[in-house]
Amino acid sequence: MRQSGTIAPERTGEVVVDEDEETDRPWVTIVWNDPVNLMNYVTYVFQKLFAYDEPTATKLMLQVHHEGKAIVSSGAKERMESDTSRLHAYGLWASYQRDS
Amino acid sequence: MTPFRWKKGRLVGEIEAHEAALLLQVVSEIRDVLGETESDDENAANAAPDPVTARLLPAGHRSDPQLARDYRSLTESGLRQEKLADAARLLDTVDEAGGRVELDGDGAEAWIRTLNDVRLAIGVQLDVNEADDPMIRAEETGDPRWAAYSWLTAVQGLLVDALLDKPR
Repeated sequence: MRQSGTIAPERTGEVVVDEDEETDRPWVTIVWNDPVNLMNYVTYVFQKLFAYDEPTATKLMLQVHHEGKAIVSSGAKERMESDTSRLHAYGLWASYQRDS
Repeated sequence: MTPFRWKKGRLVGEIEAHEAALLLQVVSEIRDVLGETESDDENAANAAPDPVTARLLPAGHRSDPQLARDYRSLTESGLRQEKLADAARLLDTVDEAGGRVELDGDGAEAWIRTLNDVRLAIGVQLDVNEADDPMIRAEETGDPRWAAYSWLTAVQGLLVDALLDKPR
């Protein structure tokens, strides 16, 4: 059931944050897999918070489930902070970082 | 309990008295957890959060402690208030004798968020993993929290299904 593609660019490995040189790279919000959160709930939250259609929300949910994480939004740092806190309000395990 | 169904724009379901008692107990507990910190006690403020609080209010940034601190100071108080408001809203809709539960859209949202927080808290306490079948674990361990977790999971799942199927 592994998904064939990704919605947003994603690479594995440690992220090196360099404030001076990498200002052109966007920030991303990541949702991490969690043994408690229900699949239909995660799909619902993605639709509700990001206005994704049902197939996109489901695809992202499955990516979290099978690959351990998925990038759910990208953009300016402040917006990623806000997206992360909106996901935390729903109990999803989210964090933001500079895109890798 | 009966599954929640849409009736004139509201979700209506019915719960038994013992289910109402369970809900009131676990939601009051999560309210206590969320309300108890932010104390003036210097030591308490500096101590590492307990595992349940750490899961309900996780780090916003995973590798940069400064960004994680910034995120926490920016969002933690607001997140606590939102979660406490959700819990209070759920408690307001449950009669301790059980019976009919009627939710508007915002009420249903408060329910699924609070049920999720409660399940996260129990999940931390029981160290739940994805392969666990809560009913089997309930029998194996005799720990009533597994049965509670299983029921809360069913209720949350049914409510989410109803919200996803909301008539337009």
